[in-house]
Amino acid sequence: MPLDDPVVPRPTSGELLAARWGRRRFLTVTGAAAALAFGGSLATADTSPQRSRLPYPFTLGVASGDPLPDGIVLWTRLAPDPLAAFGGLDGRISIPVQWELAEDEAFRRVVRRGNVLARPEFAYSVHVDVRGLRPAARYFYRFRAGDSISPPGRTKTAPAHGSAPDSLAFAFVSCQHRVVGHYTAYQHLTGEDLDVVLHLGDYIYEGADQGTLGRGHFPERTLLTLDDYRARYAQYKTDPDLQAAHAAFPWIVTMDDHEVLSNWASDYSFYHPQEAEAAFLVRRANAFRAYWEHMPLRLGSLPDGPDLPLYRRFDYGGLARFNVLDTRQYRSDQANGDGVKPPSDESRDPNRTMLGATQEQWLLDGLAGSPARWNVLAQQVFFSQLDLNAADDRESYEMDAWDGYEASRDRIVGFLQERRVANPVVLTGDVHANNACEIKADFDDPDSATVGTEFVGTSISSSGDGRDTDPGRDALASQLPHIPYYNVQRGYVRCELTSELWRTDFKVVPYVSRPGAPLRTDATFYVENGRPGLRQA
Amino acid sequence: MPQPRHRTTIAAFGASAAVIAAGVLAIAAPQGSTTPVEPARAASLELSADPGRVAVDPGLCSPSTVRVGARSLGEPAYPTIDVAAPEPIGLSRDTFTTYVPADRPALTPVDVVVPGDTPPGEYELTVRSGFSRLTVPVTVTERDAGPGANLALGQETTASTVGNLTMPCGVVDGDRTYTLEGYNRPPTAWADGSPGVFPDQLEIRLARPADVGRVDVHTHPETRFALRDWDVQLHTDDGWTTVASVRGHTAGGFTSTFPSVRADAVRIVTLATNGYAYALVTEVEVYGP
Repeated sequence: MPLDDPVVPRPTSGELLAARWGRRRFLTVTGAAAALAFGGSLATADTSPQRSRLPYPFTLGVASGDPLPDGIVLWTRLAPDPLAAFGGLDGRISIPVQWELAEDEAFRRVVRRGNVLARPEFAYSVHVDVRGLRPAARYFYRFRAGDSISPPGRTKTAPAHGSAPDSLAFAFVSCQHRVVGHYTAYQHLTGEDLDVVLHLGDYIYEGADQGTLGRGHFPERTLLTLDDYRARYAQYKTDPDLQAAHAAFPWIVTMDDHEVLSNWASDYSFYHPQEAEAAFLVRRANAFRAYWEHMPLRLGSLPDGPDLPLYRRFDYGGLARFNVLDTRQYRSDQANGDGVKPPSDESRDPNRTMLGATQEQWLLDGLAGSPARWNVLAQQVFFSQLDLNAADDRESYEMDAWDGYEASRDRIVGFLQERRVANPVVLTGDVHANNACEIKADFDDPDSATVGTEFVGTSISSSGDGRDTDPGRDALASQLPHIPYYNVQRGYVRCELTSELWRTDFKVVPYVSRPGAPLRTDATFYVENGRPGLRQA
Repeated sequence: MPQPRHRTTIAAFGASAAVIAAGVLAIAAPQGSTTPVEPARAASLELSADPGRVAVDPGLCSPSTVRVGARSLGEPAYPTIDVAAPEPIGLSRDTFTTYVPADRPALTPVDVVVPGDTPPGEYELTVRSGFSRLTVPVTVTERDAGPGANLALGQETTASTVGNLTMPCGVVDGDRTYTLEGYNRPPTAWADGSPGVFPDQLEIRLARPADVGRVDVHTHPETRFALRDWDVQLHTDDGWTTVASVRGHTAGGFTSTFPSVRADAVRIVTLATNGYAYALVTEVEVYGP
């Protein structure tokens, strides 16, 4: 069976040196320092044989996420043998892990330390919700388990509530099908100077495909059980470029469909219609649990069986508010049998919902009461109208995108317009293509008001080597005056904002079928404060 | 191995047998950490199997699927379930972890295979989680080996390379269609994974040495996807020998007959297509004289 042979990073000599140094430091941790963290008190007489024999466990790297003005989540998972059940650990005994957070890269000014147990019920993942930190501050963190020290991670808290940050730099990414491409885009991303990275979904893919790049999926089957999903996340996370991108910045993540099953909607997947709802909910519960285990998420996002509380909000002072959406879990089933279809009474049914009533109200409340200059919807599927039928007198829409949920979109766009929400910007993944869109009050009327801006980011690797242009898409140009830009290469999107100007750079690599592609900026757009719409550099 | 303290057979869904046992999932008490503390999982599990008795035809390419059910008798839980089988039975999963609701069982498919030369007989799978335990009888059947039997059916098949969403086993599944792998649906054909590069090889290991006088190769029914040229080779005590060379084939199936040879394996060496980049075979059938 042609299984994959993932690159598993081993400790370097520098890390081993750090380990010796680190052990001395860890042994001198005072009770007071430990108590500052989560009241954790490590079992003092830990004599479990596993500890002394623990092989290097930090094969999946480290991560941080969900930045608050005073807090950040630190993440790692112990997995000496990353693709094995329970990462090669015994699956019964918990393992103590120490963590520390410092103001400097050399860990001389450690400001927080603590102990946690990596527990088998959570696949030996560790989620530390560090609080009491300074706002808008850079920190470094690392973990220790047994005699091993993790590679260091770098992170940053959000600015204080009520503050007026001069600027904010972030990138957003999506769709990292490992089988079809290398993560070169992450290599370049890691070199950026960013406050935070947003991942808009399709972190893993659920299929059994093997591809031709030597990056085939493990296990070699469509994911179903919790151990299946765990092994797949572990396989993805062995990628050194992905690890480096996690270690470099805090991430804010949300999921799309492939974290569970292609184009799933609520309790059903069009691509797996023979699976009964009850069976799908077991799959969904397994997928959600593994997602939480492998992402730097708070305890508040822990799934309860097949329910995952994922939508949430992040403020960067008065500069930006990120509304992180979940467009999968509460949506109506795709209309017209999914796929690309003409609109119908069904797709335009006002009772259809993309967000579910509760999340939609939460979003509208968060927009109405926002203190922010820029109001961001970080979400998954194409928001603006995208007529894929080149004929002038016919329309076809992607039923999985907001075009298949017109009433939901109309309610949001109408609200943005009526309530004069400050500078709405929608960020999108899913389609493996870059697009810059103007959100129109009436997409069928090019002269109607521009209400906001949408930036659609291409995939990290999904769909493999891309193209700068696409003749099929060019043929649609005349009916897409509100979408002046697209590109179908791989990459990421960098955004930098001040109170007066939003700048978006579409960064692409020419190929991902082999490593080492150079990066270039394919296009740059600006949005001015108070003037919705695109201005190209 | 802990024995269940008591075993009670209860009425179960479908043809399943079920056993309840008390106590499952000892969870270490949480220590101070920000790792979540789960409520005590005092749940017992009800294990089941569907079908309750598994019949397996010999051959590594003909698995039978048993769906292992687990239902929590308390709060929903995430137990690990182990499945053990005696030699020579092979399993697609011998351990798995799954969400287990309380209102109905979580069903996990486990494929069961035995080598082609396994004699008919009775075996048992043992399914275990904590103190819950279930045994599932497995019957290894006898394949038809009489005149006219397709000796390739279900037998171990390998290939030089494997194209996306296809499988070598797809050519010995008794299905001549070209259907790619779907969700929980195996592919029914094989294509190579090296576009534009020939030759490629498909190799079928017979259950036991047999006299072979005819090999049918089925490719795509449309010429533009069809295999054009191939050799049929048989493996004998003297090594590999070419018994037929097919040239200029255009679509569908082709039968090669030749003087009978005693062989333990059959190889199809694909040499050229009618233009398609991949060699594509939907079925290979092997017959006696």
